[in-house]
Amino acid sequence: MKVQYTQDFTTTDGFEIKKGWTVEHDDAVSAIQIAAGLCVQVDDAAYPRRQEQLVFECAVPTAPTPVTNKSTFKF
Amino acid sequence: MPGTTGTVLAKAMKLYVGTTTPVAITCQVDASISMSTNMIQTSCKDSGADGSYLPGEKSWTASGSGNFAFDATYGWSQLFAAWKDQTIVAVVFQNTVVGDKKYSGNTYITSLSANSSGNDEAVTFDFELQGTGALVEATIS
Repeated sequence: MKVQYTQDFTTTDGFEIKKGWTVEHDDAVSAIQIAAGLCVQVDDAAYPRRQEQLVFECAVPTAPTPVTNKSTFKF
Repeated sequence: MPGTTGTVLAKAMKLYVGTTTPVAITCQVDASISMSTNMIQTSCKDSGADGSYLPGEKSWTASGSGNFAFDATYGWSQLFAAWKDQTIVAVVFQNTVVGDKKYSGNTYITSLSANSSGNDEAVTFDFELQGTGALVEATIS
């Protein structure tokens, strides 16, 4: 199964995988890496390359900062 | 575990590099492993007409070829580095079907070549790996 890494990862053999790289592992290893949050599954036709590709991540919404109404406008 | 029923197709049978997190060699075209046993001749002047032998040292090799790309995740550049530095390359020969067998072991690169033939062909690379130590069979889980 081919996956795209969303963060850097180094295997126990010292092979460095950078964020954005597409890598092919066997299905069991890919499932472990996905479950660990290291990568996401990509299409089987994706070419495994060392090129950073766009990785879309959801931005965590932040609560709006309350602003004290200091308006002095009067009707 | 069920595994493949009938003939195993070549498309998914590949060489992977690594131990705990193996990575497939990128854009493979051919992949193979080969095992052999050196046979020690034990026939002598007292033997009859038929030769006799005992099995000696076992050895194994792996080899393959692929399409050449400088930006491959694991391709020519990584194999070249392993050849230049004479480092051990742990390989696994397998498909991805749970219940099928996989074969793994440590190797050194004994041969590596890049080929640019003709004018309308992809550049390719070939490699040969000499196994050192045992070739281990296991079940894909």
